[in-house]
Amino acid sequence: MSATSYSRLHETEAQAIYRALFGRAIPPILVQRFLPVVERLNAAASPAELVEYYRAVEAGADLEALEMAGRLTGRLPLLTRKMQAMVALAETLPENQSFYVNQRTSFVAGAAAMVWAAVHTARQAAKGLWLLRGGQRG
Amino acid sequence: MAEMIIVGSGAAATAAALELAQRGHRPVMLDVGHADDGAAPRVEDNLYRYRAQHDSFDLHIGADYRGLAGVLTGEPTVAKLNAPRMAFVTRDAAALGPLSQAEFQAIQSFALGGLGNAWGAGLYRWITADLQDFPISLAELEPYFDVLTREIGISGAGDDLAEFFGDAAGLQPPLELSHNARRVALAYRRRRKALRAQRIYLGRPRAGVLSAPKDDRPACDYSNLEFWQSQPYIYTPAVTLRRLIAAGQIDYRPGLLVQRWQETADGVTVYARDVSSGEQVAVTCQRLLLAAGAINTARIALQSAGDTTTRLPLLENPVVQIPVILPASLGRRLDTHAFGLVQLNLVWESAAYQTILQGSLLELTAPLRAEFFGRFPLAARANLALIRHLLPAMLMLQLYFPAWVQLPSRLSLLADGRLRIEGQPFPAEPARLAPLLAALRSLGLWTHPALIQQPVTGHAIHYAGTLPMRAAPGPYQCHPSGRLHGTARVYAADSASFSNLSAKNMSLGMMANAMRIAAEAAA
Repeated sequence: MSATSYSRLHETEAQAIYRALFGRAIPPILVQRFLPVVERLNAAASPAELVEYYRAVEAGADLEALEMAGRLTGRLPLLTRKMQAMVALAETLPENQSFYVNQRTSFVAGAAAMVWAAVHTARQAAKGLWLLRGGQRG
Repeated sequence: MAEMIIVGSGAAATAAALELAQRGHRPVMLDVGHADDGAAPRVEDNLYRYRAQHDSFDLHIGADYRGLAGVLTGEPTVAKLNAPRMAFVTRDAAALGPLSQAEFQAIQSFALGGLGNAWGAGLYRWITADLQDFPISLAELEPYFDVLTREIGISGAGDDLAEFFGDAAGLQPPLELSHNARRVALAYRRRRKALRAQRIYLGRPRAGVLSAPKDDRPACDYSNLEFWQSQPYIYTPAVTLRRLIAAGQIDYRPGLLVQRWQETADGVTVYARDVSSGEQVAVTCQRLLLAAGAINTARIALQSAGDTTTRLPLLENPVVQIPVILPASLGRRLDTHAFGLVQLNLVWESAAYQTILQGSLLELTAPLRAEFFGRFPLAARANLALIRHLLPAMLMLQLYFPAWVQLPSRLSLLADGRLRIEGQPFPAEPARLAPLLAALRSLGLWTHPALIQQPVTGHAIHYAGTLPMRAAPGPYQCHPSGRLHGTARVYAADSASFSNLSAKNMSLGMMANAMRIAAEAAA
């Protein structure tokens, strides 16, 4: 498939990336705003990168786990960059501010969040590495 | 024939124009002069209050996705310059000042007011140590520092850094510190004696940011917007320039890209290209002051000589970025009422480097939170948790080195008109920074050598020394007066004429020196 023809999947991948990050459905405005990101990053990607990335998207894989493992192994750079772009785009919506801005001071909550983050990362890294080695992607 | 022509409109050009105007001259200023067209509505609220109520896509990203430049290109960028409302600062730079670069990434501006439109406004008097290798004395610059302090409105304090930052007379009170910076300042007061014994000093920055109203400019409102749009309490050269233009004290001619000059017995003819029509324009003058920035002033000099052989030096401050965490602030709510740029300065008389290093302790409240997402090493949702709970407990120490810790980069003109820049990478050696990291830990700031980052050479955006002043100058060097050797009427009034470059932010020194050179040229 060519880089441009992958764009037809942009709503699917936008949905998948957003859900991986925020655990909910993507607002329609972000689907629209994500399309230029898809077009530009796809145009710069190699055919092999496109194939690997879209195979993961279409299989409904755990994109967060795959991205973590990809960063550790130098794979799926397209997923990493699209995720970074989605994080920036999502930050511009008022309804998402609570994902980015902590409004209540709590050392206990902060410390607990750090512990959760470390454990979650270890789990996702292991899962992602298993997926990259050909584990079930669904 | 004009009496004086100034090329450029950045900090040096503006200071030179101010000096000449005060002496009763009316210089011609030739400039490309891109300006903020003002089409995008300003945000007149606190950044985070605004974001809670409005879609901030236009403010943070922009219709051309400029705010995502780093992610989309995969290239290192200067985040502040990616802000959509700062687009005018670097508009058309690649076309107007074409470069071929290796190990260097120069940032250029052809805007009215130059790169000063997006600077951090750190403005520091020089001391004798900053004049290493300069064939001029501090006494020659002091009067101009006084004038500039009055003109600009500089906030700061007469504290432990006064011995490095000069006379505190005429300063506005320092800005309010953010919560985290206040903790660091308190910790320094407790540990002051021990740190001073290690020759590490902490204090308030000298900044062109108003803590009290001045003229028609308001005081800082701690809105965290300074990353995203020009704020009236932050001085930029455009403030002075617009005042001089409105008063008819300078003859400002925008839309012109100066390419070269030709000196004759009775004057200088300056050749420029009209950037709209492409037509060649010639303007004559008795004296020419080049102030287009060290890189483009050098370009004009090389183009004027038709010289594609000579390699000129290009000085830049090496810089490292050291993220620091205040564990005591973990889980703290984000400091939404804060000045989003430099909070404190650190000066280190380093035995390891045998020179003075200067650091800026920066708040991280102003940039997009997503800017840090890719820098955290955890899984995506975990990184979002770090953004919420850890980032409000972080600051960034941006540590500047003097240019003399490494060989200069080199700059030359190619036959196709591009300027070739061959950079010198600076290997940051974490082991040599160990005493500093230990000192930071004693202030309650946790960090680790593995966290130290190095921006690409060129991203400190302190360029200097391409046509250095020497007591006995040779080709492509300047006399102590700033006059270019081999000419009778051409002066390098910007940082091109710097003989060296200390770790201190060079802007105020450059402006004072530009005034001095303008006075010499007018004499």
